[in-house]
Amino acid sequence: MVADPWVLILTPLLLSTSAAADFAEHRVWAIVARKFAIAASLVLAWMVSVGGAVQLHLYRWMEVGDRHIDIGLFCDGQTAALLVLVAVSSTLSALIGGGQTRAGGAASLAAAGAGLVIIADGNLLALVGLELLLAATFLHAAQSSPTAGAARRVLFYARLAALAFVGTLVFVDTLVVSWLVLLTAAVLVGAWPFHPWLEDLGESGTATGIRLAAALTGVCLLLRFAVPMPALAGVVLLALSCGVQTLSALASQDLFRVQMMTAAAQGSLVLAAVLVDPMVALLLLPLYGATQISSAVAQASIAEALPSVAKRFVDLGGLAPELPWPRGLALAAVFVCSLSAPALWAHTTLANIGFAEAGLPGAALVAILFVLPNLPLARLALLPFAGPVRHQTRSVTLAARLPHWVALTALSLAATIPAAVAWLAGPPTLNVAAAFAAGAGVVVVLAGLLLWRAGPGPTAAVESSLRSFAAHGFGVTRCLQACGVGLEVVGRFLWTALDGVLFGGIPGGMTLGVRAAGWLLARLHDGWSGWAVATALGTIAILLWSMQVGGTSW
Amino acid sequence: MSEALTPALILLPMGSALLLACLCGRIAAARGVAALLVSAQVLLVTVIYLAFDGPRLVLQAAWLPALGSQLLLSIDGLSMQALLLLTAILVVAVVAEIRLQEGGPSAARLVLIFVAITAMNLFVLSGDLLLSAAAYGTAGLALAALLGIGADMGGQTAARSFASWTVVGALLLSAAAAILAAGTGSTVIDDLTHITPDSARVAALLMMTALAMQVPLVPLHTWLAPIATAGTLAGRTLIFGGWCMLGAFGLLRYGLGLFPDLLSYAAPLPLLWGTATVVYAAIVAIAQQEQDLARRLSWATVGAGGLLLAGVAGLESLPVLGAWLHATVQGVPRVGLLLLAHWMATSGARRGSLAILWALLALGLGAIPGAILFPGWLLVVAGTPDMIVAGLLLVASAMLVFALVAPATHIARGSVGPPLPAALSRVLAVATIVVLLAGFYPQPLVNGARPVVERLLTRTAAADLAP
Repeated sequence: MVADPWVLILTPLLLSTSAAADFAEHRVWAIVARKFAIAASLVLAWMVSVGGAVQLHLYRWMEVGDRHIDIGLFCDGQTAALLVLVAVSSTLSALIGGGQTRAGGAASLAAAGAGLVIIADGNLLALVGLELLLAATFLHAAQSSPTAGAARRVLFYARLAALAFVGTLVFVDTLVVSWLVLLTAAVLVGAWPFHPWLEDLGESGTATGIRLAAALTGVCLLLRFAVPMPALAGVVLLALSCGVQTLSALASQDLFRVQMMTAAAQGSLVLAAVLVDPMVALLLLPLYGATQISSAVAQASIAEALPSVAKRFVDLGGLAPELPWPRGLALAAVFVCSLSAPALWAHTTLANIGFAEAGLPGAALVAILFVLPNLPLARLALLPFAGPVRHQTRSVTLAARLPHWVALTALSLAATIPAAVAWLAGPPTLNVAAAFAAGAGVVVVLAGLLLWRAGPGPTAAVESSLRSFAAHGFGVTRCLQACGVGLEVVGRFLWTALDGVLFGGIPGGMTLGVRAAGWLLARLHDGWSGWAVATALGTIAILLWSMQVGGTSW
Repeated sequence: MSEALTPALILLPMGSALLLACLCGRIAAARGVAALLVSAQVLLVTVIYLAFDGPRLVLQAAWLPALGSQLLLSIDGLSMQALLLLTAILVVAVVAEIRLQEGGPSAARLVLIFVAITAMNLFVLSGDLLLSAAAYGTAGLALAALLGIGADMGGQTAARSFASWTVVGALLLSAAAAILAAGTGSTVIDDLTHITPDSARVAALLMMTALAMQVPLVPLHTWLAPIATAGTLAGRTLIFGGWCMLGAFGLLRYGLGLFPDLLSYAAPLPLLWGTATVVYAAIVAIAQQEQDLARRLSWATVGAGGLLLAGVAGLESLPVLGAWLHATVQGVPRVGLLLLAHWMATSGARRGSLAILWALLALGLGAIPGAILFPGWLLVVAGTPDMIVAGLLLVASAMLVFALVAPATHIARGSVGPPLPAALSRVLAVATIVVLLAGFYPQPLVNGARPVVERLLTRTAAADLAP
């Protein structure tokens, strides 16, 4: 059986229809169109699984001399899976979204753009789909972001993604193309330092839908267009991104920010997995998507129950009796991410590759990398619900209680069905390293859960420059600020050094350290970070001084 | 058939201007007659476009025998596309004058619209350099008058400044024609193609300056920003949509057509000039206040001029063709944005639907894939031989898009002001649909312009091969 071109285009078309219905405020039609989009994507997946991959040439877009660009559609197993995920995530996010019709329209439009990217055969149509997704993202931000500045930042990152991908049409047949695709994908999943737009987009369900559509698009682009590229360099960068984001998530007190940093960390991991084993990436995608939706639902429940309380860890606690269902959902997300069969399958496969490449340390590194983002997730699932009650007010409506057996059954199904599919596709070879990696993962997750079980301390965390940088996620703006501070430090220090050593002699050099340390202490008033930097610069000052005394030069 | 009808492209708007002038200010009648004449012009251009089957000489008569100048009209793929765009802009300008101009329409301004279109059509069809210079000056002065009549003090100042620039431009073009006539005994373009490079250097420099003022290119751009914010709406529409496009046309027809060897001799200066213009315009556009939509638009126009020069300086069929395609079609979204910016500035309206409209047109002008400007943009940037220059053009173009789209964040925040006038909403709807969907099938545009561009470049190749 060969898939008809209309079946290929049907899912994006239906998602566009739902967007139009949402914009026209016909909610019922929008819901029906989204449901049909899921059905169309499933039919396409079935047709592809029966009849094999499909490639359809539509028409020649432009022909000048010996250069020509065609427009066509393509669908194979990966494409069909991604298309199903787009349709499902669009429907789920619309369920969280509530009655925001115009924002819902933007989310559906973004999903339609993602669908177009996924079925595109060639850069041009993919670029059209990407622009549709980015335009919808900006429209959503312009209408729903808390400030105009936030919307402008979303636009900046949207244009950056488009700029990077359009470069693939400009620098054809060069290695730059792969890096540009990686950059596009990194912006779309929100890898460090391109993550601030995730937060700026807002907390609504429609924003979650757009973020998921963007992440799926990023993964698709990397899968389809980034060959060949030096995988090791990309993996190292993405692993670094994951580490920084996880650190930021752990440092932050704001629940939404923690969720966004975790999403960015998970996105980086999926991109890294794409470069190593695409099947693993396809397994991780639904897991992480489900995690993000669960976290969004849990946070929306907290916001609904406590509308006047800031969503910060220090202001929340003891919500378990009031919000058992969101708590169960958030916990289920943690378990699905760390201990479900697809997660273990994916982690084991990658640990095997790590072991083959770098021995036991490689496998351990992979295991730790994949477990780390689960720590902030566990924090999100436990802290607001555990410990003493901290809030003073509450809304009258409380979430319904969910029986434990329902949650466990849902969790088991979520964990087992994709695992069975994945296992049938090709089971990984279990060996000592893989078992070690999986065991290490379990231990770290449990340790994390136990560590955070006790809840936060009685006092708020002390704000410091470095902690503030970490908590805000080291975004581009923050990095620029840090560079500015760094330049200022270096400039002042150098000037003081010149002034002191060249013109002031030894006494001037001795005052140098004091002045630098004093300035730094004033600047970085948090004890440890201030002392650490002051000590480092003091050491340099002593070196300069000794150079002057000894008459040596560098 | 197209040969017989083509002179009517001059005669019909000229007759329209005369007819409207004869109505002696009876504005109700003038409105009806203007609408009728615009419809006739649209019909005429459509018939000529459908009957067009290749370059043709349509009229030849003696004009100034002492200088070897002739009344020579010809039509080819480039001029056909330019005429189509000028007609579209004429429609928008008349709608702007009749429906959107504060204080209502004026018969004098309607006359000037048709005078300006007559001169601009003549510039496009002319096969004689001196005739082109005359058309340049006439169109410029008519546009300056159109811009200033009935405008406030700022508009009148802008009109005076524009008039000065166009007079200087016309003088420079005429001087170039005179220098070339002294060398060859003729100002007919086909005769001038045989001129030796040495004797053409001064003329080329004068002509390049005049056309750089028209495109415009940095640092000859200072007349544009005041016009963006002041003057009558029809005048601004014709300048932003038609006048700047004529600069692009002149750069190809006269710059590349007459002096390809000098362009390759000066390489890479033209490429660097164009790139520097794009980069400078992008930076300054972002530096403008977000509420000042018209100024951002004017800098985007300057940036487009830089991209045009960068493409022409490539001296290969891909970038030159791309430069022409990009310069031709951008009049439509640019004029749409100009009208929307003017209406929002005067009415103070802000709402989500306006933000969407603004963002869509701005993305169209920014050459997003699928939009009508994208094929041209892609050919210019991808055809640039130097990767660093291509990267600079890429980044600067992205900055220009950001500068144009970013104000939508302000427009979306609020729900105030009157609804969009019906005439404006129709014009903008058509412009948006054309801009966003026509880019999906650009081959007819490419096929129309490619033979002419390749003919122009044949001379470059011949010049390169010459010892």
